[in-house]
Amino acid sequence: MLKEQVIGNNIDIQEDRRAINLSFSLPAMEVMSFWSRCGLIANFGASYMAVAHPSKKNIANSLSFILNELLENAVKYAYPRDSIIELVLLHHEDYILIDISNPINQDQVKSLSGMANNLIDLDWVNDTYIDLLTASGKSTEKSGIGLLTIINYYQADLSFRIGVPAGEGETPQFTIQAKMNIEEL
Amino acid sequence: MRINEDAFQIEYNEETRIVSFHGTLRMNDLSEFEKIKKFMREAYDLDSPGLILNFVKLDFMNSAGISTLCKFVFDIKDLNPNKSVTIVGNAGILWQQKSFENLRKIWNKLTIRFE
Repeated sequence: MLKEQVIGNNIDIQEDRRAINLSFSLPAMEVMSFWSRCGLIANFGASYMAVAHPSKKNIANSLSFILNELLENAVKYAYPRDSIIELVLLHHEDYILIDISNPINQDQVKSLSGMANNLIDLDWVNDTYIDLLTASGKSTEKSGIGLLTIINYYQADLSFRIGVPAGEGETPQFTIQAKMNIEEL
Repeated sequence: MRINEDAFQIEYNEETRIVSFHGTLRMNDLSEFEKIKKFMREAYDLDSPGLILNFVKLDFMNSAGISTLCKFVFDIKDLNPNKSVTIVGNAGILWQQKSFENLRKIWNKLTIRFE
């Protein structure tokens, strides 16, 4: 059984029955092997949601950008490599929620928890973004630059759930939830 | 000069001094972005008064690509004070508007316009 740590304003998607719901279960290895699948799924999910907003011309492109960043992030962190990434999109009247989960290595729990706490601090995000963009390749890869980008560009409200195993034999689970006001897309 | 891939094409026109980007830049491998940075740098280093980077027909770039573009601007900003660089973006694509506004925070002499 996992003991869950919640960071930020997380919404319980299990209890949300009013929203339009689109979900995918993706083997991380299959996406990693054909990287363009991240973009294909992002484009499909974005177009599926965007048809409800024909007057908003940017929404499909913006949602695809966000979905792709979240998927790329999940695929990079998924551990073990043959694990499953769970992606859920919920469409409410005035916001869209993306909830994406993947198992992670126990060794990553501390650093991802630190990153999550940084990313819900908007002062940190605003102070750090440009510095990280111009930093060396290795440091940007580990800094959550994609997540910083969707906060900076689309004012995405990010929250996190980290499921930490109580006993041996279980794998920690990392979930990112991004809530976007449709007016910002 | 030209890079021709299934997902994207990048071309430098020596007469207009324009590097044009088409398609989608969402690679995983940072070395792929290094090739693009090298391409832009080679175009910049040619003997000309300025360089134009045109992204109007680029639908998507992931954050690794945006970071690469930021690093390119960071690298060239102090090289030649007499050489101008212009970024042309698509007015209908929000990630381009946001990305290119940020580029001006790195180098305030960058010219940015949207079509």
